[in-house]
Amino acid sequence: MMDLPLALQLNRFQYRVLFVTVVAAALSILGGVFNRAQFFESYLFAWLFWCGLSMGALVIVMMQFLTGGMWGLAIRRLSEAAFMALPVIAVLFLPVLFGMQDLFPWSRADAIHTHAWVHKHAYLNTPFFVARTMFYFAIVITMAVLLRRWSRQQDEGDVLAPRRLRILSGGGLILYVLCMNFASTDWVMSLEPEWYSTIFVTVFMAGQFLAALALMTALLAAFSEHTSLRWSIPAKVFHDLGNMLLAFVIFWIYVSFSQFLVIWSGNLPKEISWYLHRSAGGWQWVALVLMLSQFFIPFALLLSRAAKRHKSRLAAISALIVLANIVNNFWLVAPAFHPKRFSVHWMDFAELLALGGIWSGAFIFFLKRRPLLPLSQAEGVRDG
Amino acid sequence: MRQNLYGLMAEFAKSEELLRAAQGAYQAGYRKMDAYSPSQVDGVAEAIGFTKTRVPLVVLIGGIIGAVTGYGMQYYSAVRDYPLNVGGRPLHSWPAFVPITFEFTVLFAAFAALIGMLAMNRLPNPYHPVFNTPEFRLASQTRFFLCLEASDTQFDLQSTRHFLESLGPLAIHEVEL
Repeated sequence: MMDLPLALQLNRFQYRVLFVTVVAAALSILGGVFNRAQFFESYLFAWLFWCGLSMGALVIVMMQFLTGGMWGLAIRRLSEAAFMALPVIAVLFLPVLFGMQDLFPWSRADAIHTHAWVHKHAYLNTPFFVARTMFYFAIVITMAVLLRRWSRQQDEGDVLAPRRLRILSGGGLILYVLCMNFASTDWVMSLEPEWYSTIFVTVFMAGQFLAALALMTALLAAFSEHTSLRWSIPAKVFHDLGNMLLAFVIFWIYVSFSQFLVIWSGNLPKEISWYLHRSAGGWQWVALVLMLSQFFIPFALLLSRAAKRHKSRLAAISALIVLANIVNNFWLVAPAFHPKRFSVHWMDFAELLALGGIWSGAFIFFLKRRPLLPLSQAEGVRDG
Repeated sequence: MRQNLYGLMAEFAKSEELLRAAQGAYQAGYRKMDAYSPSQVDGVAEAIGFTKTRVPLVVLIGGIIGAVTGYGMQYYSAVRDYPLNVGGRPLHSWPAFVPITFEFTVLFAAFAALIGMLAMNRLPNPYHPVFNTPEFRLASQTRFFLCLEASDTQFDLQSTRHFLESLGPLAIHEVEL
Protein backbone atom coordinates (compact mmCIF):
# COMPACT_ATOMS: atom_id res chain seq x y z
CA MET A 1 0.00 0.00 0.00
CA MET A 2 1.14 3.54 -0.67
CA ASP A 3 0.97 6.28 1.93
CA LEU A 4 -2.49 7.52 2.77
CA PRO A 5 -2.58 11.22 1.76
CA LEU A 6 -1.33 10.36 -1.71
CA ALA A 7 -3.82 7.51 -2.05
CA LEU A 8 -6.62 9.91 -1.11
CA GLN A 9 -5.42 12.42 -3.68
CA LEU A 10 -5.43 9.68 -6.30
CA ASN A 11 -8.93 8.59 -5.23
CA ARG A 12 -10.25 12.09 -5.83
CA PHE A 13 -8.49 12.18 -9.18
CA GLN A 14 -10.03 8.83 -10.07
CA TYR A 15 -13.57 10.19 -9.62
CA ARG A 16 -12.86 13.04 -11.98
CA VAL A 17 -11.34 10.61 -14.48
CA LEU A 18 -14.39 8.36 -14.17
CA PHE A 19 -16.68 11.28 -14.95
CA VAL A 20 -14.68 12.33 -18.02
CA THR A 21 -14.50 8.71 -19.21
CA VAL A 22 -18.23 8.15 -18.96
CA VAL A 23 -19.06 11.38 -20.76
CA ALA A 24 -16.45 10.81 -23.49
CA ALA A 25 -17.46 7.19 -23.98
CA ALA A 26 -21.17 8.06 -24.19
CA LEU A 27 -20.49 10.78 -26.75
CA SER A 28 -18.23 8.44 -28.75
CA ILE A 29 -20.83 5.69 -28.87
CA LEU A 30 -23.48 8.20 -29.86
CA GLY A 31 -21.18 9.50 -32.59
CA GLY A 32 -20.50 5.92 -33.66
CA VAL A 33 -24.19 5.34 -34.28
CA PHE A 34 -24.19 8.12 -36.87
CA ASN A 35 -20.71 7.66 -38.28
CA ARG A 36 -19.63 4.08 -37.94
CA ALA A 37 -16.43 4.30 -40.02
CA GLN A 38 -15.15 7.39 -38.19
CA PHE A 39 -15.83 5.72 -34.84
CA PHE A 40 -13.50 2.84 -35.64
CA GLU A 41 -10.87 5.06 -37.27
CA SER A 42 -10.69 7.23 -34.15
CA TYR A 43 -10.78 4.15 -31.99
CA LEU A 44 -7.77 2.49 -33.59
CA PHE A 45 -5.70 5.67 -33.32
CA ALA A 46 -6.63 6.21 -29.66
CA TRP A 47 -6.09 2.57 -28.80
CA LEU A 48 -2.63 2.53 -30.40
CA PHE A 49 -1.54 5.52 -28.32
CA TRP A 50 -2.56 4.02 -24.96
CA CYS A 51 -1.34 0.58 -25.98
CA GLY A 52 2.05 2.13 -26.80
CA LEU A 53 2.38 3.62 -23.32
CA SER A 54 1.89 0.21 -21.70
CA MET A 55 4.22 -1.56 -24.12
CA GLY A 56 6.89 1.10 -23.68
CA ALA A 57 6.60 0.79 -19.91
CA LEU A 58 7.16 -2.95 -20.19
CA VAL A 59 10.38 -2.26 -22.11
CA ILE A 60 11.54 0.30 -19.56
CA VAL A 61 11.20 -2.18 -16.71
CA MET A 62 12.84 -5.08 -18.54
CA MET A 63 15.69 -2.86 -19.70
CA GLN A 64 16.26 -1.63 -16.19
CA PHE A 65 16.37 -5.13 -14.75
CA LEU A 66 19.17 -5.87 -17.21
CA THR A 67 21.17 -2.68 -16.80
CA GLY A 68 20.40 -1.52 -13.25
CA GLY A 69 20.59 2.12 -12.23
CA MET A 70 18.78 4.54 -9.98
CA TRP A 71 16.82 6.13 -12.84
CA GLY A 72 14.91 2.92 -13.45
CA LEU A 73 14.42 2.15 -9.79
CA ALA A 74 12.77 5.54 -9.40
CA ILE A 75 10.23 4.94 -12.16
CA ARG A 76 9.80 1.18 -11.76
CA ARG A 77 6.55 1.28 -9.79
CA LEU A 78 5.05 3.82 -12.16
CA SER A 79 6.08 1.71 -15.16
CA GLU A 80 4.76 -1.47 -13.53
CA ALA A 81 1.38 0.14 -13.03
CA ALA A 82 1.45 1.23 -16.67
CA PHE A 83 2.22 -2.20 -18.08
CA MET A 84 -0.29 -3.86 -15.77
CA ALA A 85 -2.89 -2.05 -17.88
CA LEU A 86 -2.03 -4.45 -20.73
CA PRO A 87 -4.90 -6.89 -19.99
CA VAL A 88 -7.27 -3.91 -20.19
CA ILE A 89 -5.63 -2.84 -23.46
CA ALA A 90 -6.13 -6.37 -24.79
CA VAL A 91 -9.84 -6.33 -23.92
CA LEU A 92 -10.15 -2.89 -25.47
CA PHE A 93 -8.94 -4.37 -28.75
CA LEU A 94 -12.25 -6.27 -29.09
CA PRO A 95 -14.19 -3.36 -30.65
CA VAL A 96 -11.60 -3.22 -33.44
CA LEU A 97 -12.75 -6.69 -34.47
CA PHE A 98 -16.23 -5.32 -35.14
CA GLY A 99 -14.76 -2.65 -37.36
CA MET A 100 -12.36 -4.82 -39.32
CA GLN A 101 -13.97 -4.08 -42.66
CA ASP A 102 -14.13 -0.37 -41.93
CA LEU A 103 -10.45 -0.25 -41.02
CA PHE A 104 -8.54 -2.86 -43.00
CA PRO A 105 -9.06 -2.88 -46.78
CA TRP A 106 -7.72 -6.45 -47.05
CA SER A 107 -10.51 -7.80 -44.83
CA ARG A 108 -13.29 -6.64 -47.16
CA ALA A 109 -15.09 -9.22 -49.24
CA ASP A 110 -13.78 -7.86 -52.55
CA ALA A 111 -10.16 -7.74 -51.37
CA ILE A 112 -9.40 -11.19 -52.69
CA HIS A 113 -9.94 -9.85 -56.20
CA THR A 114 -7.49 -6.99 -55.83
CA HIS A 115 -4.56 -8.15 -57.85
CA ALA A 116 -1.80 -6.59 -55.79
CA TRP A 117 -3.03 -8.15 -52.53
CA VAL A 118 -3.77 -11.71 -53.67
CA HIS A 119 -0.45 -13.13 -52.54
CA LYS A 120 -0.76 -11.30 -49.20
CA HIS A 121 -4.01 -13.04 -48.40
CA ALA A 122 -2.27 -16.00 -46.79
CA TYR A 123 -1.10 -13.64 -44.05
CA LEU A 124 -3.67 -10.86 -44.14
CA ASN A 125 -6.93 -12.64 -43.39
CA THR A 126 -9.24 -12.02 -40.46
CA PRO A 127 -8.97 -15.33 -38.53
CA PHE A 128 -5.18 -15.31 -38.67
CA PHE A 129 -5.11 -11.61 -37.76
CA VAL A 130 -7.23 -12.23 -34.66
CA ALA A 131 -5.19 -15.27 -33.65
CA ARG A 132 -1.95 -13.29 -33.99
CA THR A 133 -3.18 -10.41 -31.88
CA MET A 134 -4.31 -12.83 -29.18
CA PHE A 135 -0.87 -14.42 -29.35
CA TYR A 136 0.98 -11.08 -28.91
CA PHE A 137 -1.12 -10.22 -25.91
CA ALA A 138 -0.75 -13.68 -24.38
CA ILE A 139 3.01 -13.17 -24.47
CA VAL A 140 3.24 -9.59 -23.22
CA ILE A 141 0.61 -10.10 -20.50
CA THR A 142 2.40 -13.21 -19.23
CA MET A 143 5.64 -11.25 -19.05
CA ALA A 144 3.90 -8.34 -17.34
CA VAL A 145 2.30 -10.51 -14.67
CA LEU A 146 5.53 -12.40 -13.97
CA LEU A 147 7.58 -9.18 -13.77
CA ARG A 148 5.10 -7.71 -11.35
CA ARG A 149 5.00 -10.81 -9.15
CA TRP A 150 8.74 -11.43 -9.08
CA SER A 151 9.45 -7.76 -8.49
CA ARG A 152 7.33 -8.02 -5.33
CA GLN A 153 9.16 -11.16 -4.27
CA GLN A 154 12.46 -9.33 -4.75
CA ASP A 155 11.23 -6.56 -2.48
CA GLU A 156 10.29 -9.13 0.11
CA GLY A 157 13.87 -10.36 0.12
CA ASP A 158 13.72 -13.39 -2.16
CA VAL A 159 17.40 -13.80 -3.07
CA LEU A 160 16.66 -15.77 -6.23
CA ALA A 161 14.22 -13.21 -7.63
CA PRO A 162 16.82 -10.84 -9.20
CA ARG A 163 18.22 -13.67 -11.29
CA ARG A 164 14.76 -14.77 -12.44
CA LEU A 165 13.93 -11.18 -13.31
CA ARG A 166 17.09 -10.75 -15.37
CA ILE A 167 16.50 -13.96 -17.33
CA LEU A 168 12.87 -13.03 -17.99
CA SER A 169 13.88 -9.51 -19.04
CA GLY A 170 16.57 -10.71 -21.43
CA GLY A 171 14.31 -13.16 -23.19
CA GLY A 172 11.33 -10.86 -22.82
CA LEU A 173 12.92 -8.01 -24.73
CA ILE A 174 13.56 -10.33 -27.67
CA LEU A 175 9.99 -11.64 -27.54
CA TYR A 176 8.68 -8.09 -27.36
CA VAL A 177 10.59 -7.06 -30.49
CA LEU A 178 9.37 -10.14 -32.37
CA CYS A 179 5.78 -9.47 -31.29
CA MET A 180 5.96 -5.80 -32.26
CA ASN A 181 7.47 -6.70 -35.61
CA PHE A 182 4.28 -8.48 -36.53
CA ALA A 183 1.94 -6.30 -34.47
CA SER A 184 3.09 -3.10 -36.16
CA THR A 185 2.55 -4.81 -39.50
CA ASP A 186 -0.94 -5.94 -38.53
CA TRP A 187 -2.24 -2.93 -36.67
CA VAL A 188 -0.71 -0.07 -38.64
CA MET A 189 1.08 -1.08 -41.82
CA SER A 190 -1.74 -3.27 -43.12
CA LEU A 191 -4.07 -0.26 -43.14
CA GLU A 192 -2.41 0.36 -46.51
CA PRO A 193 -1.70 -3.22 -47.61
CA GLU A 194 0.20 -2.27 -50.76
CA TRP A 195 2.89 -0.54 -48.71
CA TYR A 196 5.60 -2.10 -46.58
CA SER A 197 8.76 -1.01 -44.83
CA THR A 198 11.03 -3.31 -42.88
CA ILE A 199 12.28 -0.54 -40.59
CA PHE A 200 8.76 0.51 -39.65
CA VAL A 201 8.74 -1.69 -36.54
CA THR A 202 11.71 0.26 -35.19
CA VAL A 203 9.94 3.57 -35.75
CA PHE A 204 6.89 2.07 -34.03
CA MET A 205 8.85 0.78 -31.01
CA ALA A 206 10.87 4.01 -30.69
CA GLY A 207 7.56 5.88 -30.44
CA GLN A 208 6.24 3.52 -27.77
CA PHE A 209 9.38 3.72 -25.66
CA LEU A 210 9.68 7.50 -26.01
CA ALA A 211 6.07 8.09 -24.99
CA ALA A 212 6.29 5.77 -21.99
CA LEU A 213 9.61 7.19 -20.79
CA ALA A 214 8.34 10.75 -21.15
CA LEU A 215 5.14 9.98 -19.26
CA MET A 216 7.01 8.21 -16.45
CA THR A 217 9.46 11.12 -16.17
CA ALA A 218 6.65 13.66 -16.03
CA LEU A 219 4.78 11.60 -13.42
CA LEU A 220 7.89 11.09 -11.30
CA ALA A 221 8.52 14.83 -11.32
CA ALA A 222 4.88 15.53 -10.48
CA PHE A 223 4.78 12.96 -7.69
CA SER A 224 7.98 14.14 -6.04
CA GLU A 225 7.00 17.79 -6.36
CA HIS A 226 3.30 18.06 -5.69
CA THR A 227 2.38 15.21 -3.41
CA SER A 228 2.95 14.31 0.18
CA LEU A 229 5.94 12.13 -0.58
CA ARG A 230 8.49 12.05 2.16
CA TRP A 231 11.36 11.03 -0.05
CA SER A 232 13.00 13.20 -2.62
CA ILE A 233 14.48 12.10 -5.90
CA PRO A 234 18.07 13.29 -6.47
CA ALA A 235 18.60 15.66 -9.38
CA LYS A 236 20.93 13.08 -10.92
CA VAL A 237 17.98 10.74 -11.56
CA PHE A 238 16.20 13.45 -13.52
CA HIS A 239 19.44 14.23 -15.33
CA ASP A 240 19.70 10.57 -16.38
CA LEU A 241 16.06 10.41 -17.47
CA GLY A 242 16.53 13.64 -19.41
CA ASN A 243 19.59 12.19 -21.15
CA MET A 244 17.61 9.06 -22.05
CA LEU A 245 14.81 11.20 -23.46
CA LEU A 246 17.35 13.16 -25.48
CA ALA A 247 18.86 9.94 -26.82
CA PHE A 248 15.46 8.58 -27.78
CA VAL A 249 14.10 11.67 -29.53
CA ILE A 250 17.29 11.46 -31.60
CA PHE A 251 16.79 7.72 -32.12
CA TRP A 252 13.19 8.27 -33.20
CA ILE A 253 14.05 10.89 -35.81
CA TYR A 254 17.04 8.80 -36.90
CA VAL A 255 15.00 5.71 -37.75
CA SER A 256 12.07 7.75 -39.07
CA PHE A 257 14.35 9.63 -41.41
CA SER A 258 16.16 6.42 -42.40
CA GLN A 259 12.85 5.00 -43.60
CA PHE A 260 11.99 8.21 -45.42
CA LEU A 261 15.40 8.59 -47.09
CA VAL A 262 15.42 5.06 -48.50
CA ILE A 263 11.89 5.37 -49.87
CA TRP A 264 12.52 8.89 -51.20
CA SER A 265 15.71 7.73 -52.96
CA GLY A 266 14.02 4.66 -54.46
CA ASN A 267 11.04 6.75 -55.60
CA LEU A 268 8.91 3.69 -56.44
CA PRO A 269 5.14 4.24 -56.79
CA LYS A 270 3.94 1.65 -54.28
CA GLU A 271 6.52 2.73 -51.70
CA ILE A 272 6.08 6.50 -51.90
CA SER A 273 2.27 6.29 -51.70
CA TRP A 274 2.51 6.09 -47.90
CA TYR A 275 4.45 9.36 -47.75
CA LEU A 276 2.30 11.03 -50.41
CA HIS A 277 -0.75 10.35 -48.24
CA ARG A 278 1.06 11.90 -45.30
CA SER A 279 2.63 14.93 -46.93
CA ALA A 280 -0.18 16.48 -48.96
CA GLY A 281 -3.67 17.87 -48.55
CA GLY A 282 -2.88 19.39 -45.15
CA TRP A 283 -1.15 16.36 -43.67
CA GLN A 284 2.23 18.03 -44.31
CA TRP A 285 1.42 20.46 -41.49
CA VAL A 286 0.75 17.57 -39.14
CA ALA A 287 4.10 16.12 -40.17
CA LEU A 288 5.76 19.46 -39.48
CA VAL A 289 4.15 19.75 -36.05
CA LEU A 290 5.25 16.20 -35.33
CA MET A 291 8.86 16.86 -36.35
CA LEU A 292 8.97 20.03 -34.26
CA SER A 293 7.28 18.61 -31.19
CA GLN A 294 8.80 15.16 -31.10
CA PHE A 295 12.28 16.11 -32.24
CA PHE A 296 13.45 19.69 -32.77
CA ILE A 297 11.93 21.37 -29.72
CA PRO A 298 12.64 18.63 -27.14
CA PHE A 299 16.08 18.10 -28.67
CA ALA A 300 17.03 21.76 -28.32
CA LEU A 301 15.61 22.01 -24.80
CA LEU A 302 17.15 18.76 -23.57
CA LEU A 303 20.65 19.90 -24.59
CA SER A 304 20.64 22.09 -21.52
CA ARG A 305 22.04 20.42 -18.43
CA ALA A 306 20.11 22.79 -16.19
CA ALA A 307 16.80 21.87 -17.81
CA LYS A 308 17.42 18.17 -17.27
CA ARG A 309 18.16 18.66 -13.58
CA HIS A 310 15.19 20.95 -13.02
CA LYS A 311 12.11 18.91 -12.12
CA SER A 312 9.31 21.06 -13.43
CA ARG A 313 11.16 22.08 -16.59
CA LEU A 314 11.93 18.45 -17.40
CA ALA A 315 8.31 17.56 -16.64
CA ALA A 316 7.14 20.20 -19.13
CA ILE A 317 9.44 18.84 -21.84
CA SER A 318 8.25 15.31 -21.08
CA ALA A 319 4.62 16.37 -21.30
CA LEU A 320 5.36 17.92 -24.69
CA ILE A 321 6.81 14.59 -25.89
CA VAL A 322 3.74 12.67 -24.66
CA LEU A 323 1.45 15.08 -26.54
CA ALA A 324 3.69 14.83 -29.61
CA ASN A 325 3.30 11.08 -29.45
CA ILE A 326 -0.47 11.48 -29.81
CA VAL A 327 0.20 13.45 -32.99
CA ASN A 328 2.65 10.73 -33.99
CA ASN A 329 0.02 8.00 -33.75
CA PHE A 330 -2.54 10.19 -35.50
CA TRP A 331 -0.15 10.89 -38.37
CA LEU A 332 0.64 7.17 -38.74
CA VAL A 333 -2.99 6.04 -38.77
CA ALA A 334 -5.43 8.74 -39.87
CA PRO A 335 -3.99 9.51 -43.36
CA ALA A 336 -4.66 5.87 -44.28
CA PHE A 337 -8.38 6.65 -44.08
CA HIS A 338 -8.24 10.18 -45.46
CA PRO A 339 -5.33 10.13 -47.92
CA LYS A 340 -6.50 13.08 -49.96
CA ARG A 341 -7.26 15.70 -47.36
CA PHE A 342 -6.44 16.42 -43.73
CA SER A 343 -9.27 15.34 -41.49
CA VAL A 344 -9.68 15.47 -37.76
CA HIS A 345 -12.96 14.55 -36.08
CA TRP A 346 -14.29 15.37 -32.63
CA MET A 347 -14.51 11.63 -32.02
CA ASP A 348 -10.68 11.47 -32.28
CA PHE A 349 -10.52 13.52 -29.11
CA ALA A 350 -13.51 11.92 -27.40
CA GLU A 351 -12.24 8.39 -27.87
CA LEU A 352 -8.70 9.38 -26.90
CA LEU A 353 -10.16 10.67 -23.62
CA ALA A 354 -12.47 7.68 -23.13
CA LEU A 355 -9.74 5.11 -23.63
CA GLY A 356 -7.34 7.28 -21.64
CA GLY A 357 -9.78 7.31 -18.76
CA ILE A 358 -10.01 3.55 -18.73
CA TRP A 359 -6.24 3.23 -19.01
CA SER A 360 -5.68 5.74 -16.20
CA GLY A 361 -8.18 3.86 -14.05
CA ALA A 362 -6.20 0.65 -14.42
CA PHE A 363 -2.93 2.56 -13.94
CA ILE A 364 -4.04 4.20 -10.69
CA PHE A 365 -5.59 0.95 -9.47
CA PHE A 366 -2.23 -0.82 -9.71
CA LEU A 367 -0.24 2.20 -8.55
CA LYS A 368 -2.14 2.37 -5.28
CA ARG A 369 -1.47 -1.25 -4.40
CA ARG A 370 2.24 -0.83 -3.67
CA PRO A 371 4.64 1.78 -2.25
CA LEU A 372 5.81 4.20 -4.90
CA LEU A 373 9.45 3.22 -4.55
CA PRO A 374 10.71 -0.35 -4.60
CA LEU A 375 12.60 -0.76 -1.35
CA SER A 376 14.71 -3.69 -2.30
CA GLN A 377 17.67 -4.14 -0.01
CA ALA A 378 19.60 -6.21 -2.49
CA GLU A 379 19.38 -3.50 -5.12
CA GLY A 380 19.92 -0.72 -2.66
CA VAL A 381 23.36 -2.20 -2.05
CA ARG A 382 24.07 -2.79 -5.72
CA ASP A 383 23.09 0.70 -6.80
CA GLY A 384 24.86 2.39 -3.91
CA MET B 1 57.19 38.20 -0.38
CA ARG B 2 59.43 35.91 -2.35
CA GLN B 3 59.48 36.49 -6.06
CA ASN B 4 60.03 32.93 -7.22
CA LEU B 5 57.22 31.25 -5.28
CA TYR B 6 54.44 29.49 -7.18
CA GLY B 7 52.50 28.48 -4.11
CA LEU B 8 52.24 26.38 -1.00
CA MET B 9 51.37 22.74 -1.29
CA ALA B 10 49.88 20.56 1.42
CA GLU B 11 50.28 16.83 1.27
CA PHE B 12 47.54 14.48 2.52
CA ALA B 13 47.31 10.73 2.97
CA LYS B 14 43.58 10.33 2.35
CA SER B 15 41.15 11.58 -0.25
CA GLU B 16 38.66 12.69 2.42
CA GLU B 17 41.33 14.93 3.95
CA LEU B 18 41.97 16.50 0.58
CA LEU B 19 38.26 17.08 0.07
CA ARG B 20 37.89 18.65 3.50
CA ALA B 21 41.02 20.78 2.98
CA ALA B 22 39.78 22.00 -0.40
CA GLN B 23 36.41 22.93 1.05
CA GLY B 24 38.12 24.69 3.96
CA ALA B 25 40.42 26.65 1.67
CA TYR B 26 37.53 27.77 -0.51
CA GLN B 27 35.59 28.83 2.57
CA ALA B 28 38.61 30.74 3.83
CA GLY B 29 38.45 32.78 0.64
CA TYR B 30 41.15 31.18 -1.48
CA ARG B 31 40.25 30.91 -5.15
CA LYS B 32 43.47 30.19 -7.05
CA MET B 33 44.19 26.64 -6.09
CA ASP B 34 44.35 23.20 -7.54
CA ALA B 35 43.97 19.71 -6.16
CA TYR B 36 46.05 16.75 -7.32
CA SER B 37 45.21 13.13 -6.68
CA PRO B 38 46.16 9.68 -8.01
CA SER B 39 42.51 8.83 -8.63
CA GLN B 40 39.29 10.73 -9.08
CA VAL B 41 37.91 12.20 -5.86
CA ASP B 42 34.20 12.94 -5.96
CA GLY B 43 33.37 16.50 -5.08
CA VAL B 44 36.87 18.00 -5.19
CA ALA B 45 36.24 19.80 -8.47
CA GLU B 46 33.20 21.51 -6.97
CA ALA B 47 35.07 22.17 -3.71
CA ILE B 48 37.79 24.23 -5.41
CA GLY B 49 35.16 26.23 -7.25
CA PHE B 50 35.25 24.42 -10.58
CA THR B 51 31.50 24.11 -11.00
CA LYS B 52 31.04 25.12 -14.59
CA THR B 53 32.85 23.94 -17.66
CA ARG B 54 32.56 25.66 -21.01
CA VAL B 55 33.34 22.51 -22.99
CA PRO B 56 29.62 21.83 -23.76
CA LEU B 57 29.28 25.31 -25.26
CA VAL B 58 32.34 24.73 -27.45
CA VAL B 59 30.90 21.38 -28.55
CA LEU B 60 27.58 23.02 -29.42
CA ILE B 61 29.31 25.71 -31.48
CA GLY B 62 31.46 23.04 -33.16
CA GLY B 63 28.35 21.03 -34.01
CA ILE B 64 26.56 24.02 -35.49
CA ILE B 65 29.60 24.97 -37.58
CA GLY B 66 29.80 21.34 -38.72
CA ALA B 67 26.13 21.26 -39.75
CA VAL B 68 26.40 24.53 -41.67
CA THR B 69 29.66 23.45 -43.33
CA GLY B 70 28.31 20.01 -44.27
CA TYR B 71 25.08 21.31 -45.71
CA GLY B 72 26.74 24.31 -47.35
CA MET B 73 29.39 22.19 -48.98
CA GLN B 74 26.77 19.92 -50.56
CA TYR B 75 24.52 22.79 -51.54
CA TYR B 76 27.40 24.63 -53.19
CA SER B 77 28.65 21.62 -55.13
CA ALA B 78 25.26 20.20 -56.15
CA VAL B 79 23.37 23.41 -56.87
CA ARG B 80 25.95 26.11 -57.70
CA ASP B 81 29.26 24.72 -58.78
CA TYR B 82 28.37 21.56 -60.66
CA PRO B 83 24.60 21.14 -61.17
CA LEU B 84 23.86 17.59 -62.19
CA ASN B 85 20.48 16.04 -62.92
CA VAL B 86 20.20 12.90 -60.79
CA GLY B 87 17.10 10.86 -61.60
CA GLY B 88 15.09 13.98 -62.36
CA ARG B 89 15.25 15.17 -58.77
CA PRO B 90 15.57 18.84 -57.90
CA LEU B 91 19.14 20.09 -57.65
CA HIS B 92 18.50 21.13 -54.08
CA SER B 93 17.41 17.68 -52.83
CA TRP B 94 17.67 18.26 -49.10
CA PRO B 95 16.89 14.68 -47.95
CA ALA B 96 20.03 13.45 -49.69
CA PHE B 97 22.09 16.11 -47.89
CA VAL B 98 20.99 15.11 -44.40
CA PRO B 99 23.30 12.10 -43.73
CA ILE B 100 26.44 14.07 -44.64
CA THR B 101 25.23 17.06 -42.65
CA PHE B 102 24.67 14.75 -39.68
CA GLU B 103 28.13 13.21 -39.98
CA PHE B 104 29.76 16.64 -40.25
CA THR B 105 27.90 17.76 -37.15
CA VAL B 106 29.18 14.78 -35.18
CA LEU B 107 32.72 15.10 -36.56
CA PHE B 108 33.06 18.83 -35.85
CA ALA B 109 31.44 18.46 -32.42
CA ALA B 110 33.87 15.68 -31.53
CA PHE B 111 36.87 17.71 -32.68
CA ALA B 112 35.57 20.73 -30.81
CA ALA B 113 35.25 18.60 -27.67
CA LEU B 114 38.79 17.27 -27.94
CA ILE B 115 40.49 20.53 -28.94
CA GLY B 116 38.33 22.62 -26.61
CA MET B 117 39.11 20.36 -23.67
CA LEU B 118 42.86 20.45 -24.37
CA ALA B 119 42.89 24.22 -24.91
CA MET B 120 40.95 24.99 -21.73
CA ASN B 121 43.23 22.70 -19.73
CA ARG B 122 46.19 24.50 -21.37
CA LEU B 123 47.45 21.20 -22.68
CA PRO B 124 49.93 20.12 -23.86
CA ASN B 125 51.92 21.83 -21.13
CA PRO B 126 55.63 20.90 -21.08
CA TYR B 127 56.42 22.85 -17.88
CA HIS B 128 54.47 23.15 -14.65
CA PRO B 129 55.97 24.48 -11.39
CA VAL B 130 54.39 21.80 -9.18
CA PHE B 131 56.90 19.30 -10.54
CA ASN B 132 59.70 21.32 -8.92
CA THR B 133 58.66 19.71 -5.64
CA PRO B 134 60.27 16.28 -5.48
CA GLU B 135 57.50 14.83 -3.29
CA PHE B 136 54.93 15.69 -5.94
CA ARG B 137 55.70 12.50 -7.87
CA LEU B 138 53.58 10.74 -5.19
CA ALA B 139 50.54 12.54 -6.61
CA SER B 140 50.31 9.76 -9.15
CA GLN B 141 50.80 7.04 -6.53
CA THR B 142 49.56 7.37 -2.98
CA ARG B 143 49.33 11.00 -1.91
CA PHE B 144 46.78 13.80 -2.29
CA PHE B 145 47.92 17.39 -2.76
CA LEU B 146 46.28 20.77 -2.45
CA CYS B 147 48.24 23.70 -3.83
CA LEU B 148 47.29 27.27 -2.93
CA GLU B 149 48.83 29.56 -5.50
CA ALA B 150 50.82 32.68 -4.66
CA SER B 151 48.96 34.73 -7.24
CA ASP B 152 45.84 34.58 -5.09
CA THR B 153 45.08 37.94 -3.45
CA GLN B 154 44.57 36.18 -0.10
CA PHE B 155 47.98 34.55 -0.31
CA ASP B 156 50.54 35.40 2.32
CA LEU B 157 53.43 33.07 3.02
CA GLN B 158 53.04 33.18 6.78
CA SER B 159 49.30 33.16 7.25
CA THR B 160 48.69 30.71 4.41
CA ARG B 161 51.21 28.32 5.88
CA HIS B 162 49.42 28.66 9.23
CA PHE B 163 46.12 27.98 7.56
CA LEU B 164 47.40 24.87 5.79
CA GLU B 165 48.89 23.56 9.02
CA SER B 166 45.48 23.86 10.64
CA LEU B 167 44.19 21.37 8.07
CA GLY B 168 46.48 18.67 9.44
CA PRO B 169 48.57 17.70 6.40
CA LEU B 170 51.47 15.24 6.38
CA ALA B 171 53.75 18.00 5.12
CA ILE B 172 53.74 21.43 3.53
CA HIS B 173 55.98 22.17 0.57
CA GLU B 174 56.99 25.48 -0.96
CA VAL B 175 56.58 25.23 -4.69
CA GLU B 176 59.11 27.26 -6.65
CA LEU B 177 58.51 28.82 -10.01
